[in-house]
Parts: sequence; C-alpha cells; structure tokens
Amino acid sequence: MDNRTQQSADAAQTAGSTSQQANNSPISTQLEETIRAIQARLGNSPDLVVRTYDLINRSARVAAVYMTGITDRGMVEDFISHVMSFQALNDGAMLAVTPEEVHSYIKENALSIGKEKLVKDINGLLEALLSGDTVILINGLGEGVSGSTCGGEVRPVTEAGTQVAIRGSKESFTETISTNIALVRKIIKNPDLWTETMKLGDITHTDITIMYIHGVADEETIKVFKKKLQEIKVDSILESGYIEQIVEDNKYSPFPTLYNTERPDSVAGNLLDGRIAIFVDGTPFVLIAPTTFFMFFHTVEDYYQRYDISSLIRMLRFVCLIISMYGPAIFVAALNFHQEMIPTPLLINLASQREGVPFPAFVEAVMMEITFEIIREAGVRMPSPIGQTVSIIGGLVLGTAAVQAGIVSPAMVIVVSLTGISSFATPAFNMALSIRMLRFVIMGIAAFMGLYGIAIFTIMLIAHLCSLRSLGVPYMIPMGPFVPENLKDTFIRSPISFMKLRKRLQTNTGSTSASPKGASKRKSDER
Amino acid sequence: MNAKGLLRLIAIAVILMPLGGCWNSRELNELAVVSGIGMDLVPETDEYRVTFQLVNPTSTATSASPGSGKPGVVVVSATDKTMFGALRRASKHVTRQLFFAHTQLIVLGESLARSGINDVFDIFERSHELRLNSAILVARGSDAASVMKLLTAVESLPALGLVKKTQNTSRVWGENRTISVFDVIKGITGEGDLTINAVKINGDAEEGKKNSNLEQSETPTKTMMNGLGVFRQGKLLYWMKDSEARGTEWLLDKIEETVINIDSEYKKESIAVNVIYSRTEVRTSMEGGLPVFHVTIAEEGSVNETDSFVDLGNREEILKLERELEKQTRDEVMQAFQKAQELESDIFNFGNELKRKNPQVWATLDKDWGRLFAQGRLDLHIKGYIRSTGMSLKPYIPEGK
Amino acid sequence: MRKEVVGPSQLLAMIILFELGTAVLVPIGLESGHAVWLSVLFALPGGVLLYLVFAHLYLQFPGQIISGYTRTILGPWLGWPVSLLFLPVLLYNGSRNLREAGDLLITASYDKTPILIINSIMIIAVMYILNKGIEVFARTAEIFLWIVIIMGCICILAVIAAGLVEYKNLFPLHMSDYVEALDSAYPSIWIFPFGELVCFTTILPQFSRSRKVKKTGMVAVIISGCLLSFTHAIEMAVLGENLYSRTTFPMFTTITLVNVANFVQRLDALVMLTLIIGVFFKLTVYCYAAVAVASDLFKVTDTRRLVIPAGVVMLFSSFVSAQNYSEHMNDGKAFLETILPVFCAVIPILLLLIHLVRRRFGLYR
Repeated sequence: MDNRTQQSADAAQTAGSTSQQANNSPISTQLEETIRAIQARLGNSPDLVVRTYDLINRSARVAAVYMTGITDRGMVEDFISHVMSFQALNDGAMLAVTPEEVHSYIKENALSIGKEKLVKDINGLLEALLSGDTVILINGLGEGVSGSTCGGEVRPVTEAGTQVAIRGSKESFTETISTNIALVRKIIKNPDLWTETMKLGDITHTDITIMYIHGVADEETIKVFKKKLQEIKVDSILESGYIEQIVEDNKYSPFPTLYNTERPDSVAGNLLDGRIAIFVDGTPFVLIAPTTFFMFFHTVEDYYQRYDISSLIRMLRFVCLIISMYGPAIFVAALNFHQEMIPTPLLINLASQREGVPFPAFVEAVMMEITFEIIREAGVRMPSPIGQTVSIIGGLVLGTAAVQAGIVSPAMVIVVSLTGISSFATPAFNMALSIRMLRFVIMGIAAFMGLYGIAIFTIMLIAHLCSLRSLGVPYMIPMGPFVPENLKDTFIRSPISFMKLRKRLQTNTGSTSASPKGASKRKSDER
Repeated sequence: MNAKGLLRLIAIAVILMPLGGCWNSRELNELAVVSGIGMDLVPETDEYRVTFQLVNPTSTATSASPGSGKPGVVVVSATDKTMFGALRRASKHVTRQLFFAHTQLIVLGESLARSGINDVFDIFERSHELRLNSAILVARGSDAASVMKLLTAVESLPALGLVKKTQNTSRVWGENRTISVFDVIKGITGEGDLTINAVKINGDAEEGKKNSNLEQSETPTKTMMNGLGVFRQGKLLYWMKDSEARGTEWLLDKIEETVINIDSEYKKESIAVNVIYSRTEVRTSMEGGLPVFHVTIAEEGSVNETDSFVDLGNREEILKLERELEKQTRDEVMQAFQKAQELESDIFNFGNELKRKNPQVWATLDKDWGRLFAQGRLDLHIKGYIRSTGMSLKPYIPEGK
Repeated sequence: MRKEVVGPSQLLAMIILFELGTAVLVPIGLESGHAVWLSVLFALPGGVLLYLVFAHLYLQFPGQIISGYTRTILGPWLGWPVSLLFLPVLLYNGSRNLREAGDLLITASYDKTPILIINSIMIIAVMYILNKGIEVFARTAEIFLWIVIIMGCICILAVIAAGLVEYKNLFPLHMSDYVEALDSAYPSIWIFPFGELVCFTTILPQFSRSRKVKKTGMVAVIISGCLLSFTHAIEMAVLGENLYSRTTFPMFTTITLVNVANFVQRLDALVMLTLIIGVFFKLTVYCYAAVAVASDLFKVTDTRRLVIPAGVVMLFSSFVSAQNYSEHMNDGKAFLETILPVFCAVIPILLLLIHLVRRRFGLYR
C-alpha cells in the first residue's frame, strides 16, 4: 500500500505541476497569507474550513484546513486532536515554543496515525485538500502536514444494477475507487495483484488505477497501455467511458473494443485470464482490456452454473445476436425479394396480413423499429416505476392499436418485438447498442439488395471485425485467428476441470509462459 | 488502418446502393400468388390455354381477417403459342403480377395429354420461379381449366387440396404416387415411358365453381383421384385403374402402404391385410434376344380385419394367408404388366435399368425397345409376410362361417 | 509497417474456400458423365503434386512471389515479360468468377437488376477486404470456412432427408466410364479448380511457418478435393446424368427439389449464400495475386494502392468479355484448354525444372 500512495503522490505532483505551473508558489511562512492564498484559489468557497489554534501562550499559531463534505467529520476531529495532543500534555510547563518544535511534534503525532505527508507548495496543498485531506499549517514555516481524512458521503456497496446474476456475488462496485480496489483484493488474495495509480484530466484530476496480476498479464500489453494512458490530454475524466473512447484502437468502428463491468467477480475473472482492469474514481464501471468480441456474450454467471446449462445459454445468446442483428433485415429481404423462400402456407398467411397495409415492408419495419427504440429510450430515462408503465403502454397499446388500425401487419410486430427482446439478451449493454445500430444499416441494405446485399455486408462486417484489435489482441480471437484451445470457452463453456483454471493461477513467475490463455494470445499476435 | 480509404469505399457503396434499389423488390401485395396451373390445348389454333388459380389473400382465413365467404381463389385463363406468352398475357385479366414460385400443382387437360406433352415442360427447368417439384396431374374426361375452377371443401386452396389428396391416397392406398414435374421430365428424357396420376371430376363442373357447392355436407361436385394415365412417347394412351394402377406402383417400388383383401376358406375377399412395407427389386437380363425382367417383391402386412372365421393364432393359417397375399399381389402385378405390354409402353423403367447395367447391350436394343418390351418375360418372385394380427387372435365369428 | 503473416489454419481455410469457390456450383468435367465424382478424385493426386511444385518453389525462394523467382530463374530479361503475362491471366480468370456469380444471381433471383450493379457490389467488398490487408482476409476466411461448412451440412442433410439421393445414378461404373473420367480429369479438372492454386504462390511468402507449408497445403487440397467430389456425387445422384449436364447450376437445381415434410423446402438462399461466399473468396485471392504480381513487377511499395485499379479492371472485364452466358462458357472452355494450363502448370513446372538444373550445374551466379 505504501508503494501505491507514494506513486499516487508522485502522480499528483506531476499532474499538478503540468496543469497550474503558473500559479504555483511555495507555501508562505506567514500563516494568514497562506490561508488567503488558499481562499483566493478556491474562490472563497464556503466549504473550506480553517480552524486556527494559538499554542503555548500564543507563541505558535497553527491552522487546520480542510474541506467539509469530502472529509469524514470524525476523522478530522480525531486527526486534529491527535496531532495537537502535545498541547494538553505540556500545557503550563512550557512557556513558548518555536514553529520547528511544533512541526516536529505534529509530524511525530501524525505519523502515528499514518498517511501523513508534507506539502511544500500551494498546488500540493490544494491537491491534498481536494482529495479530502486535512492540512495542518504552522505560522512561520513554509511547510504543511497533511493527513488523510478522506470521507464524506459515499454510496454503500449494493447489488449490481446492470449486470445481475442469479447466482454469484451480489456485490457491485461503488463510486469510490479505494472501495472498488478493495473489493477485488478481497477476491484475489495474492501479492501478485499489482496496481498502479495516476491522475488524469487537467481540471478534474481524476484518480485512475490500473490493476493486473503480475506474471499473468502480458508485460508488453501493460507497457503499451500505460503509455497510452499517459499520453491522454484532456480536461476532464468524468466516467470510464472517457478513457474507453480515447484509448480505443479503432475509432471508426461501431463495435466497443473495451469491456466494462460493475461486478468485482467479473473483474477478478478477467484479471486471472491475464487482462488489465482500469478503475476510474467516481464511477462503478471498471474497464477491462484487452477485449475480444466474444467476451461481450459471456457473463460471470456462466462459470457459476453447471457447464451444460451455461453452454446452452451461451449458444442461446449467439442465436439472439443473430436474430437481433438480422431478424428484420431477413424478414424484409424475404418479403420483398425472395418470396419463393417462404413456405407456401406462411406466404399466404403473410400476404393476407399485408393486404391493406399502406406501407412497403421496409418502411413498416423501420417505423416499428424506431417506435420500439423510442419506447426503450423513454423507459430507460424514466424513473423505474414509470418506466415500466411506459413500456407496457408503448408495447401493448401501440402495437395492438397499430395492428388493428391496419397500419402494420401483425407479423411485423412479432418480428420487431422478437428482435427487440433478443437485443436485450446480450449481456453487455454497449455491444447491444452497437448491434441495434447496425440493425438499421442491414435493414436498409436488405431493402435495396435483398439477401445478396445482406451477404456482402456480412462479409465486409466480419472482415472489419477481424481487422479490429484491442490493445494489440485480435478482436475475433479465437475464431479469426483460430485458437482451438480457447474454443472451450467461447460458444460453449466446458467443464472447469477442462479449462485448467488452476494452472493459470499457479504460474505467477516469469512473464512469457504465464498462462495458457495469455500464451495463446501472444502466439496469435505473432500471426 | 486506412481510414480515408475506408470512408471512400463506404461513400461509393452508399452512392451505389440506391442505384441497385428496387429492381427486384416487389411487395407482397403487388403479387398474385399462383397456386395451380392448368394447361389445355386449343385444338383449332394449336395454342396453349393456360389457366391459373390465384390465391385471394383477403379471403384466406387468418386470425387477422376472418374468411369472408368469398372463394379462396380466383381463376383466370390466357391463350398463347408458348407457355410463357400465356403467363404474361394473363396480365390483361389480373391486377397484380403473377408469381409462380408457389405453384403447387400442374394439371394437364386430356386433349393436351393425348396430343403429346413432351415439349411443354422446358419452362419449369428454365424459369427460376416455377419449381420442378410441383405435383402434376392429368384431368380425365375434362379439360384442365374445369379442374382448376373447382372449389374443394375443407381446403381453401383447391390446388393444394388436390396435392394433398394425391399424397394422402398414395400413402395409404397405393394406386397413385406423388409425381412431380421433375419425375415427368426424367421420364421423358429417360428410356421407356411414364405414367401420371389422373384426376376426375364427379358431378357438374359448372356447379363446382360456385361457393354454394361447398355449403352442403356432401359437395355435389368434387374431384377424385382416378388411377394413372399411361403415356407412350409423351402421348396419353390409356387410363389404368384399380388393380392395374396398383400393380404398376408395385413394379415401380412406390407402394408405401395399401390394403389387400384376401380370401379365406369360407368367404371371398373377407380378410383385409394392411401392407405396411413393400420393397421391389428389379434386374433385367437378355435371354435369346428377348428381355427377361427379374422382379422380387417383399411385402409385409398385418391383418386388420377378418369378416369370416380364421384361426389367426395358428401359424399354419398365417402361412396360408401369406401365400394368399402373394397370389393377390401377383395377380395385380401381372395385370399391370400385361396391360403395359399390350400398349408397348415401358412404364416400369425396365429400359433405364437395362441401360444402366449394360450400356453396350442397350445400344443395340435402343430403337426397338417398345416391341422388345412387349415380348419380354416377367420373372416375378413375391415374398409376403404377415407380421401382426392386431389386438385379437381368433375372431368372434364362429368357425365354419 | 508490421509484416503481415498467415497461419497454417488460415492457409487451410483459404485454400479450401478457394477450391470450392465456384467449382461446387458449375458442372465440371462434363465429358465424364455420371462418373464426374470419380474424375475429381482422379485429378486430386495431380492437384496435390502441382501444389507441391508451388510449395517447393516457395521454399527455394522464401519471401519471393512467383514473378520474383521467375526473374531469378529465367533471368531478368526473360523473366520479367513472362511474369507480366501472369497479370492478364489472373485478372481475366478472376473476372470470369465474378461473371459466373453475377449470372447465377441474375438467373436465380435478381433478373431485373443490371449485372453491373451486382458485380460492382461484390468488387467493392473485395476492395474493402484487400484494403485491410491479407492478414484480415485470412482471418475472415477462417471464420467463413465454418459458416460454409455449416451451410453445406444443412444442405446435404436436407437433400438426404428429402430422399432425393438415388445411388443408382452413380453406379455401376463400366470400363468406359473410368476412361472418360480420366479423360476429363486431365487436364480440365486438374487445371480447374486445382491448377488455379497458382494464385497461392503470391500468398505463400506471408506464411508464418514455412516448415508446415507442404503439409498444410496438401491437407487442404485433399479435403477440398474430397468435398468437391462428394458434392458433385450428390448433385449427380439427385439430378441424374441428363439433367446434371443440361442445367447451368446443378447445385441450385438440386436444392430447389428439396422438400422435407412440406416444411424444410426452398433452401435456395443457402446455395446462394454459399455461392456468394465462395466466389467472393476466390475473387479476392485472384485480385490479391494480380495486385501482388503487379506491385512486384512495377516496384510499387504500397500494394494497397493497386487494389482499386485491379478491382475496376476485373469489374469491367467481367461483363465486357462476353455478351451472354453461352459465349462466356465457350470462351471459358477455350481458355481452360489452352491458356490456363500453360500458366497454372507448364510454367511453374518448367521453372522448377530449370531451377533444379541451374542449381545442379551451379549456373546461378
């Protein structure tokens, strides 16, 4: 832990020095001046608290500075009373004291609490203050002692909201980075679980921590990734999505190349596979890299349920992927171009349904799809009780009414709702969104060229997927390039004893032949 | 990754896409789905009169629009020198483009069949819409148009109804088999001749067009499967019925299931044997310049009914029944074979078999095959087995009746 | 830029898709009648040997494509023009595949769409994938091999389940059939599709494990030969010799006959998809080969710049070269009998022989 804090201090130092070098100045020896400078820099914010103390017959003036709201009240009181405790001990005995003496006392006492550090300039001081530290300033000395009293209102660890598992841990990440890291550490109790911290965002100074298992994750990948992160030049990082969009290898691709999760067990599982996790302060969504296409269709629960059930469910998800991407497109293509493909009774049935529908099938499909998207979006943004009402009203009333009014055919409603529901079966929301977007493109192509257009577009799409890389790892691994070993855990989930999970854990020394999965990844990299 | 090149390609694709738009795009409600085609010959002009049965989607019963009491099909006809010409000429009568990919049934009129059918099927091979696996029937004693116009009970599409009728009777009775355009083309191009299922109208064809025909429990006018039409060189020669027709199917190895009534000791044709499996093997050879057809039929059946006494618990009795079954089968097969010989029409594909096995010999026989076939000898072996006797052994009928 | 590499399984997938490409769709080796499946098997050993020639040449000159070692073996003055001749052959043969695909699509479904549009959409996809590089292409091939296998299995199962297969159509084989089969195997089936593997001489230099090159290729050629033979046997068994020889696309006709329980029917779309995928990969390999030869001969460093010109040439020659399908087929026959054998078999074998002689007698300076 010491290691980490040291690094974070360094990072803070560097971040500070790059951003506001112009205003940086050493802490003045005059206490009042320093406090004024702080207040000026913070724009006289009312949440800045300055408590001054006169010690030993007014021979020394000491001020404790902290921000309310982001500090823990009890910890602040503790800290202050603790570092000042020499006052109580020596009251009366001493007549005067020099700032140096006060400083050494305070340092000593603060040390016993831990997490103390010295700040020497205004920027460092502000950095500490805004991180929730309490800073003790001593009149006559150009140096302050800060102690971590970080706290304030935090959301407790609750059940995951977006990635629900029937079986498995109910914990999910919170907005506090230290809590999040601790949640993972609680799962992987291993000294090789390494973290590195940096601050990003010229204005927000957001804490970013990358975590990996030393010896399992690929050193080269980590180096590349760290370099990428350090090169980031932005004002603000408000959510891990910012990092995701900046770091992505291919910005023109509709597909996400970084995975995000709010489940600690999912992060742990991926770390064990040799991946890197990126924690961002202020968001419960942790990024995972490198990512492959098939990861988006796996959930942690696949590993908790029995393998046969999990395998079937996985395959079901891939079926859903195909339905949600191609459903309406194939329907439109069959209806407009390939009527001979439809079995006769079905064709007659469809024909009688479409009798009197005033729109071409494509327009009908687009209309219904857009309606569905509207209902979905409205349902998401509404508070949850209303959201359900919106979807019920939208789905049932609109659908039924549209059919009864003869504006759309019932078959189209079935196809659209099936695709809609299928797209929710993709566990990763960002992937589901990409697919949903592509669905419209494919529908358009189907309306222009039928099945031929769909086929050519699919070839191009798969070629595009094959050309993607996430941190240098081919996106379509293990299908293209083909890695038979990894097939055990792609479309199906083979029994755990087949997958040599233990082996991955044990080989934590050396970096090249760390894990079977990591090794195969590198091998495929070379292709 | 060359992002610029990618964007350029996408731009080209997007620009090209609308160009490709809609050439082949047809909405379902711009199509008239043809469920059946009837073909007749207009003798005076030597033109085809083609009759189409079109599905009327609004009156087909679905949950969305309950059947409206109008007939499920609309029938139009057109006349032209070629099939395709007639297909397109029909546009004068119909509001929508005819769509043939779902044609279930082709009916040939008797007059067309008699004057020769060899050259009408090219369009089925050539067109991507018309299918080779549409079923085919010959109208017995009427033109194809009146068969097409006839409405059927139960099925809303008469053409589909006829196809199902063929399939149904082929499966359980065995005088017919499902014959598709593909089979007919194979018959025409192969050696030997062919048979096509016959369909006959019972009752007044005019009445059958009306919906009122269906508003009775027994429809006065209806279609009925009626044996096989025998063709020679593509021309209809003869109608086979009953046991002749079944004998033909037997020789062609197309019997799936059938019923044979055999004699008991006390009463003629009183035991119904349901043949549930039958397999025919054919070999041909030449003996003294004449062909000999070695046919082996193995059939298995179960006794489903006895109307007179027979002790089915007795193995001897069963063996007797088996011999009887073989005898009945032999009768039917011989009837069919003799008829075919009489017509000099090799409807059993014996010629194909000979050619396949012995192409050199065939080359010398090719021209004269019809005559040789008529003089050929049938070497018939039948093995009949009775596998089960149902849920009872002895019937309740007392012995001696 | 990083050197692009192709792994063994990717080479395997590419060769299989390339071999099956159009050869499963059009009737091949018409002279052999119902023994067509046998002629494919007869031609297979020749195909394997031919591949070994290509592989051996590659191993002798690793890192060089065919135009490169032609110049080394024959000397620059003779080698350069000979290599140049490959260019029109590759482009024309590629465009023939495009034409066949376009024609099938038009006859099967898109009868009112101009062939220009159909073909240009295909060629755009080819340009797109080649723009991404051979590595991406190889990976895509790997994925599509699975898709093609799955679709092929569905088609074959459907045909068998529909009870259409009549083995009587394949047997018996008489002596004359064997002779005919051998006759149509050499050279016509030997050259199309096996001889066309000459394109892979331009891909082999990207192969990652040169020690496995012979084994991988042989396995791929044998697998594709067997699949080809099997498919044509099924087609022949279903259609019979007569119809098989008359129909333009036997596989398509075969699948239209399928009807299992009145439900599994009308699988034409699957055949169409197989065709599109097969032709696409074949076309791309041809296009890549042409681009590689051209960039080698004219010393163009960025091969991707030649992709668009090559594609456009192929597109236009695909529908300018013949007015109708019959003319196309006649041209194809002449091409297959005269020009193609020279470039697919004669030149490579001669190259190998000259190389062996020169090396034996130390004639390389």
